[in-house]
Amino acid sequence: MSESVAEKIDVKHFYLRRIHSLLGVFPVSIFLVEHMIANAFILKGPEAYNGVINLLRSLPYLIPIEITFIGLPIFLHAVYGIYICYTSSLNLKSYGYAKNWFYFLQRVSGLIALAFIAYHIWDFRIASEVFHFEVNYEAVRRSMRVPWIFSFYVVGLVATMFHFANGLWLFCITWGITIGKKSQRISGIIFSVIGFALFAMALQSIIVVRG
Amino acid sequence: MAEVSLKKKVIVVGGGLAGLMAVIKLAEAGYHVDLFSIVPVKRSHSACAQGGMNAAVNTKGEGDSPQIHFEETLYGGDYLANQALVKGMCEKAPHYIDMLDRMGVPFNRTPEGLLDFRRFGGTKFHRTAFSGATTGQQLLYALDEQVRRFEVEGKVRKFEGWEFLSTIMDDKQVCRGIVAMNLNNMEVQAFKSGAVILATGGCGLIYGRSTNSVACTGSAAGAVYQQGVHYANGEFIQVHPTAIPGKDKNRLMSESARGDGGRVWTYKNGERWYFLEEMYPDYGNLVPRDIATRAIFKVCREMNLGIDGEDQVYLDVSHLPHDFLMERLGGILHIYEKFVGEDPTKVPMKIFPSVHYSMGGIYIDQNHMTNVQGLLAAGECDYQYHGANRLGANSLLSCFYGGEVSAKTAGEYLSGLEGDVDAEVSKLAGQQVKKEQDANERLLTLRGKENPYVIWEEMADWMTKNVTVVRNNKDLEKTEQKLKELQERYKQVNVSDVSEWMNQPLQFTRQLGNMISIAQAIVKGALLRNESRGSHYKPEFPKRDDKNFLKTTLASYTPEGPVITYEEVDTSLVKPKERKY
Amino acid sequence: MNQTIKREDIEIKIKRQEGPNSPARWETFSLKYRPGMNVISCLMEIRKKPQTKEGMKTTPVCWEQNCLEEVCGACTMVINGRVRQSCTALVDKLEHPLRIEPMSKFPLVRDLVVNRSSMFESLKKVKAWVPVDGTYDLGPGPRMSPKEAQYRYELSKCMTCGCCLEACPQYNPQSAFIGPAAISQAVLFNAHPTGKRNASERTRSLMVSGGAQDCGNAQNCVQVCPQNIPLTQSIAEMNRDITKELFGFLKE
Repeated sequence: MSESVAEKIDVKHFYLRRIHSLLGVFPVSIFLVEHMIANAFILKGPEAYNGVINLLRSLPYLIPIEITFIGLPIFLHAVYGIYICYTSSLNLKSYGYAKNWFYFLQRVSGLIALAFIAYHIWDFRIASEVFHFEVNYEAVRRSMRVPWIFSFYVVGLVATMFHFANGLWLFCITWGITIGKKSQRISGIIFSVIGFALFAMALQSIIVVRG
Repeated sequence: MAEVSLKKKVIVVGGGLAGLMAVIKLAEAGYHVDLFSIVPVKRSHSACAQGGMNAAVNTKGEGDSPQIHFEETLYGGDYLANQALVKGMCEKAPHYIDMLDRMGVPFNRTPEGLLDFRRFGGTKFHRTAFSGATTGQQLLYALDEQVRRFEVEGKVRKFEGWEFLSTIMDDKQVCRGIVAMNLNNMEVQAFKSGAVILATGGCGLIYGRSTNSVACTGSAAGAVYQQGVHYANGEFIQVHPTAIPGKDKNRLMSESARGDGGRVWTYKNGERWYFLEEMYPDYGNLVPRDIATRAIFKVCREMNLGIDGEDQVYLDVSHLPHDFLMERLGGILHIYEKFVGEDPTKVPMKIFPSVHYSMGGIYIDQNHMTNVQGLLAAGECDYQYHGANRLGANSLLSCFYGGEVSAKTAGEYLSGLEGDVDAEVSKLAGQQVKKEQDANERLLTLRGKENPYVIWEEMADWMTKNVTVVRNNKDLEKTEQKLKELQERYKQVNVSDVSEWMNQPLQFTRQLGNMISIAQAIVKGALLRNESRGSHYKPEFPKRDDKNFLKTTLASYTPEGPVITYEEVDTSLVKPKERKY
Repeated sequence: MNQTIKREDIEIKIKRQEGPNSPARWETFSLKYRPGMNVISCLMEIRKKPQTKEGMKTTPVCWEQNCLEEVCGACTMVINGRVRQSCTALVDKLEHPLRIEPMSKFPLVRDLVVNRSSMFESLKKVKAWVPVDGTYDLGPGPRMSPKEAQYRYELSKCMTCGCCLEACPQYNPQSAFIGPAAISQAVLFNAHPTGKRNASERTRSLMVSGGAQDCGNAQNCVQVCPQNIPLTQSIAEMNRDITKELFGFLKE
């Protein structure tokens, strides 16, 4: 009896890990891309940006959508990610290979990204509800003009984008999409390009918004 | 499993190919098996076999057959092998290849997807199935996997990290189990069984540096020899012509390097001299091992033509296409590069002969039973198949056949056992355990001056110098004296570790005592065999002497030294003819 | 031999430990240099005269060894901080003084000896064998192209030496990860025409806590494997099998 129970927990653990991997891409990565594109409207000026924000905020069932497709997935991905960090160890000194560094950075970047996202959500989503102010171009500009917030954003974005790009590379391996050395190298190149591009977009947005 | 009747229980000592084959056959036949091994069985010495395994399948239209394989094996062994078993082995060979193929051994294949075969020494046929350059490893793994499956099914219990110390024998000299030592906590325990199969491998460590693995001390054979089991043909030690000399061991450069086109040469008068091809135009570089070894010895020692004036000649594959080399020989060439630091596809390899295999071993009859009832032997530790010299790629084969036959015999023997075996064994077991515990205690409390490893090294130097390729009676007599001296000094040994936890020096010291006893049997056999046959070469008696020595040497232990008697060889199937290549 | 550096003496630091519950200590030994030495020959030299550099009498060092040709997998150690087979660790090619330690990921037995039985247990878990009907005369095995045979040969060279587990940051006491070796063996037998028939059992045995999904892709395994087995490819291969198996569940 106890063995079969243990087996069930065993199998559950497998599903959790795979769900963690899946959540990272769908919906978290997809939302990230969408979010970056929305932010890029900053480049088109305050009106365009505010327009996009207002459009998004006027979506029907906004709160359920936000919770189901953004909040909860990120939360679950993060909780299990912290558990993964707990089960990891470090041996960069003896085995300083690039992939081993990536293994380490994936975990570190995940933790930084989590802190960053938590602050970001508080600042631009929850605080505005609690203290009843509006999030718009002007509000973003105010924040970005604070040097420590801006610096934190740069660090947060680097971590997030690394975690995103390397995460996609990992996703392809975890689901058996890229198997051989060659395909893993190619996917590595593709995701690096995407990661860099997205980071550049985000960076440009927060620099431009400062004015 | 504790309640299994001894009539259904067999102990196998040694987890190399022969041992594992015996285990599989016994488990399949419904017996319970306890398998003992010093090392995890997957690390057994069988893994070292590189080139392949012979089976006359005639897939290349050359007209090969098991009969020819049989005749060549006898011929290669200078007719010292008993013929019936050799015949059985050669006939069964293609079956073993099929069996291993079904077990998933990744043999090299032809484009059609069939098994590929290569040429080896002592034959003109493509008869050797192979798996890259690590055939032995692959065959060992295949059996290891099947045994693991039986283990999961509860048919086999493995005792890895246990050393065999002695058999439990009743007063009628019938074997009733073994006493073994747990190499972690050094505990000595008795294990009872209806029959015991020893598959404990060769004894190369007697020679110090050989191509053998560190576990190949011959200790188990030495232990049962001292308990009254005969040791047969000990003087026949194969020296492999091509090995890489090393500080810790000599590493084999497989015969397959020559089988696939490698050439042996040295400089004579400033020019390349392919001496094997010149001396033996028919077989060229693929003459049997003893012949190639003596040729290299002659070139280096008598003619002083070794490379750089040292004991070494070239084994050259650098003229062969790179891709071909990588596919066929990648593994062994890689070994050379790893241990020497030079790329053999570009520069010729420097090699010299090294002790490699013991044709002799524990005496067994035509059913693999020793002269002690209930005690069997198979694999390199027995003496049956290779006569005075073993053909390349026949050793793996003899492991399978020996394992199978001994398993069959053990089964038949068990079903013939009468009376309440289980009851009478317990007392005997206790006595034997006490004896072995006392032996350990004695060694641990001795505070002598002699380091066991130093004694070992001295024995190895003497044996390598005087009891390998060229043997002279005068030197053999001196070696005999030297071994006596070492035996005395052994009594003054200092184990240098008194720990009761993983005491490796104690383990080794016990092995050393047994090694000395086998060395004595080897030397005495060599001394009395006044002829040249196969690997045993005496310049004083350069000819084979069938009248006096077409006989099996039987050494029996006495505290004063081995007593040698002889037994007729079974030559009922093929009449001996002169061995000429 | 031209590249041999002339040395007078070599110094070796060895991490010693009498038993699982004893404290660890370092001992330094000094040996005469001889060309062509490897770590094993150093240890052999020490046991002939077990004495530290300072002249203190000590016990011979315990270590595991057998073939000394890098096919048996016994002599794995951590040499100068890096896991490898000690038989191929040539003194000429190592940084001095040499630092020799036991592997850290397995229960210590004594000195350089550790207990790797968990690796053999893992082979049972993934059913690493071809389930043949028996060893009787049942004819030849299934045909296979040279390419398939070669692929299987590469995976089949695994010596269960433990290098991949030692170097894997995901293989540690907090994690149940089974490690690359066993996953690769499962792939080996899933790729065999007969083994394929119970591929699903093998695959499912790795769809549990500590299964293939726990790999964190640090990919050290492939860097340290003495047999150059494409372990990361095997893991990804298994991941694909698992994904397929997963969709198989959905069909039910």
